[in-house]
Amino acid sequence: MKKRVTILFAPGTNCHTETIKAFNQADADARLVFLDDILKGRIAITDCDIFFVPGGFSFGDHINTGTVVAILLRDFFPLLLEAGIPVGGECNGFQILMRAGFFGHDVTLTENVSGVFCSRPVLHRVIASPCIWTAGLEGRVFGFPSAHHGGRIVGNTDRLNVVMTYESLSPNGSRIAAICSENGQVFGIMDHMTRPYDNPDGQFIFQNVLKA
Amino acid sequence: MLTLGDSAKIIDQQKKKKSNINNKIYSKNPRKENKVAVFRLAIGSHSHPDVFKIFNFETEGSLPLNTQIIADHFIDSVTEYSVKEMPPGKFLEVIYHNGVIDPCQESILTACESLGVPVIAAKVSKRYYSNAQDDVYVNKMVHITFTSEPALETLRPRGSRKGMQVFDLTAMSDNELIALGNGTHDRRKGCDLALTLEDMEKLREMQIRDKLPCVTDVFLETFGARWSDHCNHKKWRKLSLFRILKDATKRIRNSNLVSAFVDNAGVWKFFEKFVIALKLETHCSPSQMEPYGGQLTKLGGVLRDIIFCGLGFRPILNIEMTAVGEFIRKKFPLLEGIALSARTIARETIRAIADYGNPMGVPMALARMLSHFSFSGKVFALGGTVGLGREDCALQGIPQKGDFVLMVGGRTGNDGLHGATVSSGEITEQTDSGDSCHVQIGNPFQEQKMVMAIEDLRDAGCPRRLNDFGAAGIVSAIAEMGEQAEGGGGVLVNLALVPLKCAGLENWQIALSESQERGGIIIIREKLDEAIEILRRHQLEYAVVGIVTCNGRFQMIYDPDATDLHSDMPLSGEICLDVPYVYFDECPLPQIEIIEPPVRTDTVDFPEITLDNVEEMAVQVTSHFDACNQEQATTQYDGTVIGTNVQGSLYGRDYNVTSHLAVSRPVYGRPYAVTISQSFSPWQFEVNPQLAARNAMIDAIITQVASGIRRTDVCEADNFYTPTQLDPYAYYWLVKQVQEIAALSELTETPFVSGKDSSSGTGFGVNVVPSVVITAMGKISDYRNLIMHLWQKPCSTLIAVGPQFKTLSGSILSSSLGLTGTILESMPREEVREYLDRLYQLVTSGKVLSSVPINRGGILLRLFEGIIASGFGVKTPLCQELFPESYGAALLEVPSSAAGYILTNYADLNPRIVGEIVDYRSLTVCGRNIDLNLLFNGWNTTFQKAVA
Repeated sequence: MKKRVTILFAPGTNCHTETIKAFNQADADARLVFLDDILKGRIAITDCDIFFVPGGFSFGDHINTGTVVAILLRDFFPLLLEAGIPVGGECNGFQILMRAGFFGHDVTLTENVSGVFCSRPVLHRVIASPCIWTAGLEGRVFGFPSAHHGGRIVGNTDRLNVVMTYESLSPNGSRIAAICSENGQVFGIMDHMTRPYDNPDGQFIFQNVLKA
Repeated sequence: MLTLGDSAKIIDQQKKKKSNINNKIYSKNPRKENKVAVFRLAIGSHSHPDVFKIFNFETEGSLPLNTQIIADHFIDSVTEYSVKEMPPGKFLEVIYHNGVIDPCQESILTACESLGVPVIAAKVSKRYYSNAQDDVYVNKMVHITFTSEPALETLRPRGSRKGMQVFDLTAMSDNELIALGNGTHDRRKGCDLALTLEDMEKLREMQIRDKLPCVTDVFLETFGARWSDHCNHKKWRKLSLFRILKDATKRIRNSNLVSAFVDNAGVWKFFEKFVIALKLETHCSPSQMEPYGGQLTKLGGVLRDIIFCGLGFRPILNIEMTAVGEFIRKKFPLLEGIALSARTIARETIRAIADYGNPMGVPMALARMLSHFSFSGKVFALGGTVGLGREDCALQGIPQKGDFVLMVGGRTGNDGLHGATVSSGEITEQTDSGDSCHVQIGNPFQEQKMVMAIEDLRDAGCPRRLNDFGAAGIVSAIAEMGEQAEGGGGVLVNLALVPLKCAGLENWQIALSESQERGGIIIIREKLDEAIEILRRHQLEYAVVGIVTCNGRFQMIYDPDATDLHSDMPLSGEICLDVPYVYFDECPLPQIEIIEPPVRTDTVDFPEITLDNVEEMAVQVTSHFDACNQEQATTQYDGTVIGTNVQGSLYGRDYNVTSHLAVSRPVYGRPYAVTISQSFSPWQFEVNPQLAARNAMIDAIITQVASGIRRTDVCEADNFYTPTQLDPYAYYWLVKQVQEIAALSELTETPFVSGKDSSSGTGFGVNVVPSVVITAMGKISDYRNLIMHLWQKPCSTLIAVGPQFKTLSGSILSSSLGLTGTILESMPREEVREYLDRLYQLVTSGKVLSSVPINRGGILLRLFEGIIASGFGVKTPLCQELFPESYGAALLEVPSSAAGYILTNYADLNPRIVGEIVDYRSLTVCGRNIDLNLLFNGWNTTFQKAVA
């Protein structure tokens, strides 16, 4: 039976289609779930095997990147942790998870050192971590593009579970490309494993978490 | 039925009537009407200590707002901190003025509601101290600034509506009519309708014909917009230019054609049930006056064209081309300090395209900045979008009596006014500083919400017809839809039902306001509830503002009480406009004299290029603004979103070489690809606008065919940018250009499906070179069969095929040398079709490893780019031949073993050996090693220096 993956859609999300296609390419049953449906109780946030927050500019990046969705779902996100559901966030999805405190409140994602958006191919090295999304892929180098303006991880980064580091020039000035929560359940990455949607490197990661 | 005369009489009565609809969103006098208070939360940033972000909240009631809970959630505690007391010292604080709703308000209110904090309005201001004030961007049309602590009474728009003005044209002298038409009349100062005396006399005749005592300002503004060159294309119609292109497209009978020149975009068959749509738009006047806002809305506008094409298309890629005044020569030093510099326009363009394009979630597929001194007075700002749609929803329907008219998306404000009339005129200091409220406030968040909502409406079968809110707002968007209604058209709009973002908008402003974040939809009557449910789900604001009447008339009223719309309802309230559609066809056409320019007999002596100076000349080419590395701009545009691009704006191992062909495979799970190429070299147009148009068109098609696209799978869009009558030869060249590309289109069976003309290419007295950009769109059933640019392997042979020009006229090198030249070479028109077919045979024969067109920068630039992109090197026996730009030629990489075969069996393609690829990074010209570092440094630093 295929695993059911919820792809969250908030106003301003713009990477939902490629994300659905990428998960389905990896043999998942991915579906789009509107934020409003979760807030109004029409769909339970835990009604899935994997919960994924795609990229975009949710609520126009107004206030701060990811802030509005983090506020709206602040009472819902803990339910995912309680249920032990793997959670992933890519680009703006990562920013939402960061604002929601999944990785602690002493780290954050801030503006790239260049001060501008950076869209280019990037290489990432997977390193040993408790992350269930990349378990067994340690040492692999994956290529998929960056496309972000605020992807530099700052704060108390020494204590972070680093999942990937930049193998090529960092698009944001940080050495860290991806992190996970303490128990490896929640995974955040700024760059786009879903581009192109059938990118073999991204598929390694999706197939990996679908097997977990 | 009430007449306009009756309308005028009852205006005074209506003024007394309180609106209970539009007034809900603003406060006439907040202090008297209701107690409100404004509270502020200031946030500092560790990384920018002299800049503070201040959230301003308005609440009902005067009790202090508990900002702590907001601070806890709004502040990023790692990088930001709450400021209890602002630091002393001189500062500049910038905030949207009350008439403008902050685009952030919706998100802030959503967050505050979730936190249980009762906020009714919000605005974000920024306060700058010390040197941070120096580079602050202030748009006085929308911003106000403070240098002392602001005392904000309310954040909501204030004011009250003014009534309509009425005019008896029959009682006016010719001088008064002229003044009313050009915005100098005492009663309508500053409202330039761009209507001539002849136009005004025609309107007066209509007033007499209909026995009206007067006409309204809405009437005048409506005709000003509908008869503008922007909407009516008067000059093109007078010269029958549309007919030439349309007839050529019709005669070609290409089976891929779905629709051309009848919708917001041209539609081309793709594969299975899919179709693709192509549209490009210029936005030159606004981008010259206020480049950030102008370029922002350029992209927003063309995206909107695609979203609202047919019954709804999904944008799948963007195209960006901006040509600025030249950086190298200061041809017009007097413009310094008057017109914005090329540097400012370039910088603001990059910022705008990134700020709007990235949130829209549409990949940038091709992006390039070009230069020419003739764009010093008015920039050439061109943007394009391609969309994917369903074949069964590719065409608009015919509105039926009783269908509802909806407006969706952003609210109507006082921005985006007179876009049609201003873009039709020349920029002067007067229009630049005075009547510039046509610049809009871009809000991609709103437009992005429409993308999926419109697709969902389409898939639910709700819309009968769609239209974007381009120049002239309701007057174009809804009037045009209504014009297509059954039985000769007919639509009634109640302006009182239009959601507003500004207080005190007059009727004509509501009718005329343009926005890239707003659209008009005619919903099938029985589908209204379903449509509303879809719009709510996408949190997209909407309003039912009108009804299809099928009575042959375009009617606008302002009646807050008329909320129950039905097709036979009598006109009520203020009757703003009530005219038969046929009146719009009575537009007087201008007199245009075609003056042939004298034949140029002057000649230019270009320097001979030898081994002694070849390196120096090569540096001149790679360092030219039009040829240099522009990755600093291009990488700021998201090129990979939606996950379908195969090749975008850049390619190569360091992702820094500009590509000539964008490739996307927009149908997930299928290998079908859409390919985009574009050609325009302003230096060629300076030499000979007609032959330059031919070269541009051949180049755009060759780029497709040389990659393996079949000739008949290619269609085109044309975008003309022509000087005003200040250039006596402007129309001569325009006619020649249109005839040229139409003839070539027919010969190659590649139809034009979309196009746009701008005949306002004169700014501050400077005429642009008569320009046309050709964009070609192709398709292929499997992208893996395409021959791409990147060199594949060492020891391959590089062969050039196609025309081999001798002259440097119009080339990048000629521009660098300041000798543009006088004689342009071009491939004979009648040879093009056969050449294309033979080239297609060659590139699909399995013998070609890579392919790239030889256009801007000639073979020299292609070799240099090939080296940078691949990391290989090249040895070439050519020297002087490296520099002419043989538009129509292609550079092919073939296995060395196949070179002889090609030279023998494709002799009709004029093949010649260009060189051999070697496995080390080098450029050897006739045995001389060229210093690649010199070439690279020029190529790599020019753009940075130009826009820094």
